[in-house]
Amino acid sequence: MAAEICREEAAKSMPAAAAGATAIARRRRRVEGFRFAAGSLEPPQEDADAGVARCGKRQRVAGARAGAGAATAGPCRPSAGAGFGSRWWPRYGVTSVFGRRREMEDAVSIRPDFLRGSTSSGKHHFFGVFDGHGCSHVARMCQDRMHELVVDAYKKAVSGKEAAAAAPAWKDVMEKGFARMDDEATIWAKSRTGGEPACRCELQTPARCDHVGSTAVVAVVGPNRVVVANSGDSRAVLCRAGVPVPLSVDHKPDRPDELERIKAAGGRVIYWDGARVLGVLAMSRAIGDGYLKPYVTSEPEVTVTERADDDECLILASDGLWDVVTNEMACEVVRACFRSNGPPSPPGCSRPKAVLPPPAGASGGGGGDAVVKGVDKAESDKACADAALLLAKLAIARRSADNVSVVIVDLRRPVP
Amino acid sequence: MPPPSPHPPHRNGNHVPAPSGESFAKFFECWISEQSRDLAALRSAASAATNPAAPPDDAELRRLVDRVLGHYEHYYRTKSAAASTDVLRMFSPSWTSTTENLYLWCGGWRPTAALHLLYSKSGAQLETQLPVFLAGGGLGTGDLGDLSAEQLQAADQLQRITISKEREIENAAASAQESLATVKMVELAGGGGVDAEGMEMEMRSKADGMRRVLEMADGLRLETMREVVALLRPSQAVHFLIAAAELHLAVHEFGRRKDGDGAASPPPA
Repeated sequence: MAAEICREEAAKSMPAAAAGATAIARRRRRVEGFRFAAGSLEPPQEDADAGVARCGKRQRVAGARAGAGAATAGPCRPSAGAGFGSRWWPRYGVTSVFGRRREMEDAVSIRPDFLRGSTSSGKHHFFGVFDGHGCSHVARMCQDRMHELVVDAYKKAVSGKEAAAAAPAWKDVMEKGFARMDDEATIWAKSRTGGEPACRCELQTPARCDHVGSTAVVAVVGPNRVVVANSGDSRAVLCRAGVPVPLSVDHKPDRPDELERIKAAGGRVIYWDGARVLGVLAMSRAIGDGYLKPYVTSEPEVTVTERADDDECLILASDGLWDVVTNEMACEVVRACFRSNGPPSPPGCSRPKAVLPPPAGASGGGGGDAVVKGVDKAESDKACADAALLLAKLAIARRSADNVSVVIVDLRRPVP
Repeated sequence: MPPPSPHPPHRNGNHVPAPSGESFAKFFECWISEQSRDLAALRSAASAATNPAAPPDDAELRRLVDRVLGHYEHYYRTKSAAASTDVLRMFSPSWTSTTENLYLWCGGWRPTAALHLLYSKSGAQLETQLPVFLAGGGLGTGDLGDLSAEQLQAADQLQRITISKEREIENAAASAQESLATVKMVELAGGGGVDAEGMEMEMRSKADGMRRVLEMADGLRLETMREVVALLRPSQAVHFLIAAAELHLAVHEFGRRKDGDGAASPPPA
């Protein structure tokens, strides 16, 4: 009986979700015909210069592989001007705040050039937003480990092949990375029996470490394409020619295909303050949440989008933003910030203004607790930082009840 | 809409009577009318700030902000002195309405509410400016709508610290309240409470625990207020203090009317 009610309820909300999915499919078809052809890899000498400049100026980013050689020369650069990959550092901005909540369960990870030494096809930058639930420890593990696991999966995928001149199977790479991440979260939860509590959630009785999980939306921005893997209800949106193109579809339990998957696995979606898997979790996929497996799975949905000339930016954010700000509004805000900041700044200058937690040790939090990891605050780009800030403020203004994390990546071609 | 001030405006804010447990209610009335006067001054400074012909000078705004903060400090000094003679009354205030008492946290307003107030006022002002910005205009209007990245970061950090301090105080309150059921109290209660002197001593020491909780909580309230103001520019601080005074006075007036206190001034027929 309950199942019938559930189904009916879910059916009511079907059209919106389905429409969203087809919109994406439509978009993606268009994208495919619009492939940007420039090989566009950074010239080695520029890379080397940049490397020298950076070493003295900033602390090395965590996760950067010391000693790994610069990417070797790629195909010739088209004479048309600088390609997407010509700059040596991604232009990004990030804001991550408590907002109106008393716990901070969001975590952000930004790992520039994270495939250094593993690929010859230009620089790839990793951006991840993780929104924890139950506790923050799974989100923090994702923040510390996800990029490393994706690198491992990438290396395995390209090993034996001709150093990945051809595009690797990104879908497979991301799926393996997410699966390994989920394994690590599960193993950690199982290992937590007895002993000193390592986490806030263990102070509760009975300790419920496997009742904790995190969304994960990960974007790998390469010279020619943007790969997005998503599990949960955080979201990646590409702003192209002023129009938002969602690169992920939220995993809500009442999404028709998700509802089917959950039911096929023997689970149920119960309406209790919104659609929830077994009446508990308001999303249908996540890293962790061992107690809701297999109904809640960590398997990501992956999109691979060729970059286009009229790409403007990529927005990654937790539902603290998306609950109160539409994709359209988000794009509009970023464009306005870009407009008021002028053309993209050349590499190496103008990097103030990201909202980041204080430096390690400033308030007893230490580097281990940093809300954003992988980059130094001073490295962000002003236009992107302005946009991330404004979107976060807008989310708070619109009474978002949640933590708010926003990452903006500038995808415009730099002015030659 | 500020509540009508029962007294003509004074220029000097330090006219309030000396504290004692009984007179705190009187002090509170005076303080409320002082807050109404502060609100009027803050509002006129804020509206002067929108006049391009005579932009207000930051030092002048800073003086106004400091004076208003000084009045908050005076309030807590007086409250602390009153609590040292009569802590019981401080936790069951007769000068606040039942509506206000609904929101009491350790004998006053919850410190993190100051940050929520900042976010709400800032959000409202941002929403007003947003259409202009999206249409190609600027954002810099000097109010809370254009909180900078550094300011939001500072507010976020302050919120994190304030939440953890609230938790410490809640733990202290838990200890103080749990200490009611000590062995000594069980003995005294078992004797039917006839050992009046013993009861008096025990209860006094327990009330003293709660006085310390109140002291910590009031300290955090004032500190949070100061810290929020410190992260703002003077012109923004004016807007924050306006929001704080408006909220306090509006809830106070609403609560008094609810409690029937406002029978003397019924709503217009």
